[in-house]
Amino acid sequence: MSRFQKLQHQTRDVIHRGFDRHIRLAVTGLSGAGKTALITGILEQLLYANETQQLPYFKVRQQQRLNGCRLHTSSNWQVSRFDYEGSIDCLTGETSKWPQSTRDVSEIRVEIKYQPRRGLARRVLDTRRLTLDLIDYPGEWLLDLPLLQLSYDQWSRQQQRLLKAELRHKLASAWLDQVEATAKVASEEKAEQQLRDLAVGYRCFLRQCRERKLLILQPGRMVLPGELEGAPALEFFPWPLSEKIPEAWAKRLQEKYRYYQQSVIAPFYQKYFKHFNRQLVLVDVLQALQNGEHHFAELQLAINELMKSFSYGNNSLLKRLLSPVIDKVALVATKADNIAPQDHQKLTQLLQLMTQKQRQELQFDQIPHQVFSVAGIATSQIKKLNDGTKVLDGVNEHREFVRVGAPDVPERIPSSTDWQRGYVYPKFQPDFNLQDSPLPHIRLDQLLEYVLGDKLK
Amino acid sequence: MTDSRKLTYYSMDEPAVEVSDNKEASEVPGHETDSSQRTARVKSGRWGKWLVLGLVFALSAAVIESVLIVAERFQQNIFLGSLWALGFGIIALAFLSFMVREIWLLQKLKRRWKKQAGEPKPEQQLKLLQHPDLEHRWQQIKQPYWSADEERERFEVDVLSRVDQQATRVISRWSAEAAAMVAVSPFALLDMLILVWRNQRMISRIAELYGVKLGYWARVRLWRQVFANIVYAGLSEVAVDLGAQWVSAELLTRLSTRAGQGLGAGLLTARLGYQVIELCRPMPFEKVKKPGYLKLQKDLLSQLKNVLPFVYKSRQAKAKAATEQEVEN
Repeated sequence: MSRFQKLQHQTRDVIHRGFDRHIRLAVTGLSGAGKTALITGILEQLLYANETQQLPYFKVRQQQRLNGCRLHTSSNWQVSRFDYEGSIDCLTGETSKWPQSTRDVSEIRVEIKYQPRRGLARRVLDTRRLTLDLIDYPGEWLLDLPLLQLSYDQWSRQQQRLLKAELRHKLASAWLDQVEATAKVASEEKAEQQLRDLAVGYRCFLRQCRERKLLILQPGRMVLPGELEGAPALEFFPWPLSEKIPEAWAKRLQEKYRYYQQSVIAPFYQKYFKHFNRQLVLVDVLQALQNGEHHFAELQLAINELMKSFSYGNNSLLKRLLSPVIDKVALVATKADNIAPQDHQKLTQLLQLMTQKQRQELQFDQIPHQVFSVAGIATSQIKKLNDGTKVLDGVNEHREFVRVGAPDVPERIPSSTDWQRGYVYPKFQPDFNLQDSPLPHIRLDQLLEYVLGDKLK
Repeated sequence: MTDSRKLTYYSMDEPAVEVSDNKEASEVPGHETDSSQRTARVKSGRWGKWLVLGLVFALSAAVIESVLIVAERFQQNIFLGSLWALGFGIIALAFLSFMVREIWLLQKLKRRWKKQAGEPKPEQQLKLLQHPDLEHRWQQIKQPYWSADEERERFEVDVLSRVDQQATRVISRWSAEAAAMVAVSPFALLDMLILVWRNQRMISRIAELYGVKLGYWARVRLWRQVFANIVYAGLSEVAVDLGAQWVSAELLTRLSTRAGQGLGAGLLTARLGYQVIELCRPMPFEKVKKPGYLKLQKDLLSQLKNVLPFVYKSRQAKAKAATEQEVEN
């Protein structure tokens, strides 16, 4: 495409943003929260909206004002396109499975064409367009965003606090010993090599943490380096000990940290995260419950940290053009298909309790927000046995059909006795073929209505 | 140490049914007792007790008297006596069956009113509505994962609102008709008769749409409103006639009071219609906007416009004749 075409694209984008016809939806979630499945589900429902009865809450469809939706090339040509077709192939292929976890950033744009019903637009235009940008990225990188606001010392202190937790301390013990031993022989000449070795040790520790399903793993690029594999930019670590950092190291570590902030995180943030005006915060509450108390607490902390790194507010015209802020937030408990429908309410309530602090802040700033329990792609069916027990039918990891009794969902943050008993949830695999389009979902229509509805009037 | 939670697996061979509330709906959990308790709690007025007592006395007196009469007739002539007995028997039976039917219908309506406040189940209500097409539609859109609140909302927005729509259409049609008829009709008594007839028909039509059968006593509640309408029709007719004598005919041709009178009657009929909707609707208006008068007024006016030229013309002709007479005098 010519330069002229590109210019045309970008001009149109600016105009759309000015007229508030452009939604950049931040799908925020840690790794494994179900971002890819949710994005695929949203695209699937939007593209097939006119062929299904599955979207009664999506008003524009229900009032038959939706002309259709179309996937579109994004104006940001440096970013790869979200592989919607690939995900659908994965889900509906011969051996139906979940799409692979995301390893890089991808973006997709949907154009929604509809008939306006209100305001000036109705008198002037027959149809109107709304552009929706969805961005998928590895959840591991997300936790880098809070680092932007922390100095190296602050970050180290935070990590030291985290390391006091039992599980982390156990996993880190080898690395801590290594740090202590090397610190005694720290010297100016060998500093480069020593730090590199310790960084490798730190990386090992992070990988172990990840295997144990811990969530706060910083810096995220150490876990999933992307194009930074083996780059010297990653040769640093938080200072874990209460003693002072050896002088030979201090400057180097701080420099590396600052470099990471400015050359890795900041561009990532500028490029993808700055222009969002709506946000979905995905939380896999069930997984955290199953993993136990520590994980649950860590998840709460992680959400807290995350939401701090986005800016919320109301968008005026100037703000929309220059630096939009998020003006609507949906907090979403994903994978609701793993529990019985009558427990969805409990799940919602639990997420409400988990995010109480953030919601209070949003409330204070008058940012509309709501909590949902959703499944982007629903893989189970609720059935009832003759004796009245509710069961979920689905396919397990070994591709066998299983029938599982509806698992317990706590209504409030579990107490220590609850934690002792633990929670366990089934993990259903998709089992679809091509005829199943559009794939079933749970409550996506309400989510879509909440996020897009006010722009589709 | 408490035992840890585990997933319980069930065999796939065991029969399992799709979860839908059809079955639960037919069970009707505890609605009957609930409503009867509530009716029991409703206090009758201060004079109600005495009224009932008096009625009981009067009724028993009537029964005793009729028994005595029959007995007396039997003494006179066995044939005459049995005829009297038969007559009284039939009347008593008819009265009894009427009472039973009325009580039953009223109970049904009352239960519906109770349900408006309570927690209604969509499937159960669908059955009451008796609209097979809507039942089909509900089956299409219903999602198994909906909570009771979501179901309720969807039921109101997707199903009940369509019945509301039909009912509003009925109202607008019947009130427009009533308006036109009242506008055209020449004297007060006819106005009143028209309104009685039209209002009654409209009430039953709307009730039918919501699958309710209205008994006599249920109508009584509505009758107060009907009565007000009738009084309006009669009084306004008289006022128009008197006005025609008092005010100069020329002014009347401009005002077209008759059309105004018709419009008034139409609006009152519509008001009655909306009351019937609220009475018969299985749940109160929550997510759906209450039907309003705004559109109705337009409908009425356009409908009247079709009748109006005729009224207008005849008035004009009369006025012309009157002025000509004056000139001649």
